[in-house]
Amino acid sequence: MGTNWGLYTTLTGILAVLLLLSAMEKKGALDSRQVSVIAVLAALCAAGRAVTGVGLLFLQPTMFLVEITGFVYGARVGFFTGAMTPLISNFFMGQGSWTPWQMLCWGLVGVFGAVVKALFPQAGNKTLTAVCFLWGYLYGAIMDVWQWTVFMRPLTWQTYLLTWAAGFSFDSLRAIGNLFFCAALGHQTLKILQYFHKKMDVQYLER
Amino acid sequence: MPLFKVENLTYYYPGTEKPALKNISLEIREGEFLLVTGGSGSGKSTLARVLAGLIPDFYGGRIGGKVFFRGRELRVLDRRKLAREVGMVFQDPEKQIVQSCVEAEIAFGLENLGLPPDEMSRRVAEVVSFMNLSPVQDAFTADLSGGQKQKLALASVLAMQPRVLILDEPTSQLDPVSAEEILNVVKRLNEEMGFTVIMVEQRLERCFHLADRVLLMAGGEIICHGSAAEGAREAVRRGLPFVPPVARFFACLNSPVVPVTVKEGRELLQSYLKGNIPVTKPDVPRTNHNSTAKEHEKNSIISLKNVWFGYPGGREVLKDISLDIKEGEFVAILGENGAGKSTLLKIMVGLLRPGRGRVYVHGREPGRNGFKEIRKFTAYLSQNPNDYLFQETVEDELLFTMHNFGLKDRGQVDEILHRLQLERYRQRNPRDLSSGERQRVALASILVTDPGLIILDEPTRGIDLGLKSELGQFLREEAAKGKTVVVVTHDVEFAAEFAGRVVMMFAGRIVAAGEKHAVLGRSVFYSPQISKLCRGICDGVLTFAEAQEQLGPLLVAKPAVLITNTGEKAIWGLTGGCTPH
Amino acid sequence: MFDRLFYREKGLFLQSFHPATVLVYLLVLLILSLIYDHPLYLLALFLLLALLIREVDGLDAWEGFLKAGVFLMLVVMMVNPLVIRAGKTIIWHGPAVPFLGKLDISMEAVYFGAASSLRLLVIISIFCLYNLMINPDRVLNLFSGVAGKSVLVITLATRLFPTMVRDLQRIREVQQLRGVDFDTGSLWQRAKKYSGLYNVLLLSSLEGAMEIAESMQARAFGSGKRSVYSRNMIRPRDLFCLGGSLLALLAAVWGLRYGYGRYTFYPEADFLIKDGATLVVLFIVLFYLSVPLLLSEGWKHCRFLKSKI
Repeated sequence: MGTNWGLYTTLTGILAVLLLLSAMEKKGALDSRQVSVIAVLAALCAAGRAVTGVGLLFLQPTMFLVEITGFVYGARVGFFTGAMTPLISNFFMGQGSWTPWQMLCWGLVGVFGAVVKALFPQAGNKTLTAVCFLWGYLYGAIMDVWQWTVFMRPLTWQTYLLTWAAGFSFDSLRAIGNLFFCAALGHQTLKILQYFHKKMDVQYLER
Repeated sequence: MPLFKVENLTYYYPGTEKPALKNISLEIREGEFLLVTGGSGSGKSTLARVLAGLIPDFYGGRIGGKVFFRGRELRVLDRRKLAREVGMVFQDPEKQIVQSCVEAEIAFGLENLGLPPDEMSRRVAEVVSFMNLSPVQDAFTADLSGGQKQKLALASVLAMQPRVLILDEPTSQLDPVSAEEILNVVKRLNEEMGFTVIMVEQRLERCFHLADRVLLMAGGEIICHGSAAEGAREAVRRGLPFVPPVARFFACLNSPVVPVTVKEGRELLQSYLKGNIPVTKPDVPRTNHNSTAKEHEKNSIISLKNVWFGYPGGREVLKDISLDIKEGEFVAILGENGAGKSTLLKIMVGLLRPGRGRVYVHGREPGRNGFKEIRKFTAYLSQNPNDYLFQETVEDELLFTMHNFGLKDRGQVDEILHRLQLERYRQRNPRDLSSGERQRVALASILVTDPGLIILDEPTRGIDLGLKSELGQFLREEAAKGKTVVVVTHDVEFAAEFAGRVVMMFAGRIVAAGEKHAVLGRSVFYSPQISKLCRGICDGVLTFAEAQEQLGPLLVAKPAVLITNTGEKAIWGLTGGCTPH
Repeated sequence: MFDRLFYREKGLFLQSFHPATVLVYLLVLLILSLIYDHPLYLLALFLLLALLIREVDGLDAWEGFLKAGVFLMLVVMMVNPLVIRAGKTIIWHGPAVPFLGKLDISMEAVYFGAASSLRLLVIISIFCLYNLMINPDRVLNLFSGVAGKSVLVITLATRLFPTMVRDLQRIREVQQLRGVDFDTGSLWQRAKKYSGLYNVLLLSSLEGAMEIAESMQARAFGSGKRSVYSRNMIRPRDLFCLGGSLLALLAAVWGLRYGYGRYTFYPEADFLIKDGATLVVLFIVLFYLSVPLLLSEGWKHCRFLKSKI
């Protein structure tokens, strides 16, 4: 057990998040509108993540919002909003060792929204819903990597699959939540975000 | 040189065809206190934003004319320089706080200006002590009350040490106590520290007298422009409601002097009445026994019996509340922040269950299982009308509620839209409407089921005086039709004008309840301005109309004093401005 | 519930450190918990954390954290013995399963599972301590020099979060009174009902975002390079604590080179205490790590020390 994968994955997670965030930082200035819209969306996602009811089997109406944010506002805002989501809600529920990896995963969801936009500019809600459903599982699969490397030995694909299988029911709930919410809400959310996207770029007709 | 000089300013918001400001010309002197008032959509907020340099910088749109600040054109001025000279505080305290820590919020503007650390520390320290914010200095901003948030917003602007302070309805979202506090600070800044203050405001009874000049706006134009007294007289002449009650009262009398405070008003009133024996107002409550007898026969719609309530892990919010509200009553519930008013409403509609005691609404217990049955007969308007608006059109918004309750009668939609004057907006997106219109849409969306009980939480917050009286009028009509109206409000003037019965709460208890004259007429602090004016001279007067009715004949007896030049007989204000809307 | 930050200012000594100190200290703890395999060492870290958490009045919060980790712990305890075939002492001969092979459970695997769980508890406790010891706002403040915009977004979102939760609750009530029953109907129908809820919130919050932006604009946001207002102060206690953390890390790394802190589980579990040096190294590392704890005790009981740190 010479190499300490647990240490490496943890540090990789932290470093990846820091690097990506600093890349966001470098690339041009955000104006006040962008700052406030990103913050509002992140707070909204975080609230959606925190407030889940028994009546809804704890499904979270959040991941699709991050994805659509990425789809509408691009990879940068998408990543930012996504990465903020677990961070903000954890300020209130308690940060954990999982935070950096969660940030990475959520950020990737946002980036993926932008990827969908780049690949299929005309993509409608159906594509987004399908992608969102897949991410429900993908998110679990990525999150398991950390848990697997830190607590499991030997690091074989079998142990990984077992770890993943242990979380399968949670992943399924997440995926179903994503599917339902994206199908039900996606269309309108898309419209709302696009409306405000237009509002963010002010045109000066005469100065 | 004037501080601000505005020449022929015309402005269109992006994508609109109607100008928000039309040919505005204006000069503002250094050290002046300028009060800007008018209805919603009159362009007063837009003007404030132009002076703060936010229009067209932040909003875009088309602008014509020129704005000079200290002789230099505003648009060529460096943003940092302008921000150091002109500070602006906005309406909604919730939407101005950026940082999560109070101290950091105060420093926010200073950071933006790029000031060095020691300069920032000094300024933050100064402002914290001036605004008395040290008790909450390290607090999490989200935990602050609305009043504290607004104080913080003001502090954050003051830390930038501007010479001009622009305030856009800074107190409209606050309770009276916090509002008073903000206005006192503004007054001190103007009088003791020489700040130039430009304040857009609706709550006139508290700030009219502070102003050196009053600017009355309508439809994007300045319609009157002069001293407080001149402003009052002009507004009354035009039938506009934007005058504090005392000034309106005397302006309607065509008095040569228009007092703007209760103190001045009382002096004037007493000088008029000199010689006349102090009026021995019959101290009988206004309700005649006839109607009280009738009320006993009426059905009780809401009945609370010894209700106690406490949030889990929190303090007791309601203590032994017993209250009976009859069919057709218009009840206003008054009280300070945290007195338990909103909790009481939630208990009434069944959103909360009482810890002890019984609640009956329409004869059912809402907290237990009657909730689903009674909500069809109960309309509840929360503090924020935006909570209701998410459909594509106004019509859909109404249909959404009907659909939920399985109602099909489209005629009801037409009728409600007509009654609330919303027909024009039927196919419009509710989010494109102004705040007053949004509130009417929200109201329509809950009244469409034709409920017998209408419950409103702070409906007058943030809406202008004209809309306020329209709302009051509407609710009064509903009550006259046999519906029961319950309003929670901070607005004593509103309660005095429109309600029939007033309930006063304090620290979770009901401390006074009864006919409004009985409750408000005897109160010193919770009484409308007119009542303060008449206290001891003519007791029991609450509303403008009553004051005219009671005092009118006495004052007319000495017309020589009252009527200055014209021999008009119709001084009792049959014009719009003198009859309450 | 979400009205307040997880962190509570209690005016405790351990809460008065510079955020950088706390971050370094906790990072050292995290690294140690990841590089140590030795159950005794992990146990020692766990006990140290327990004392620290008690020192910040956080036992209740800790309980919540540990509860949340129970599921993960069960997975770790279950999966390891099922998969690991390296152990020698078989305590249960299981049947052959298609995917995993023969399900023989060995003593060593159970032992490893338990040690891993202990590590999990340590990691959870480190984060619990983080949440109790340091105001997130001050950490963010630390980073605003290098990542001003991100930090601003984070603080703004943090401050909006309780408002959003409150708004959500209010809108939910409003919709309930407009005849929406959130708890009835199929899952799909419920999701649709919640859609309305989120649409209202999304619209209102984005409208609010414009107003916030305006207020920022009015306070000269984006008018040029920003400076940073820092409220963090460095005291002697920070230097002590930083020194302690670094020495502990050095001692640990030095010890690991000679195998102190390592532990062999397979094929047969090692002795818990091989030789005296194991304990000595552990003691040295632990001593350096307990600097904040010792300072805190000193601060409480010794007036001289209180004035000096």
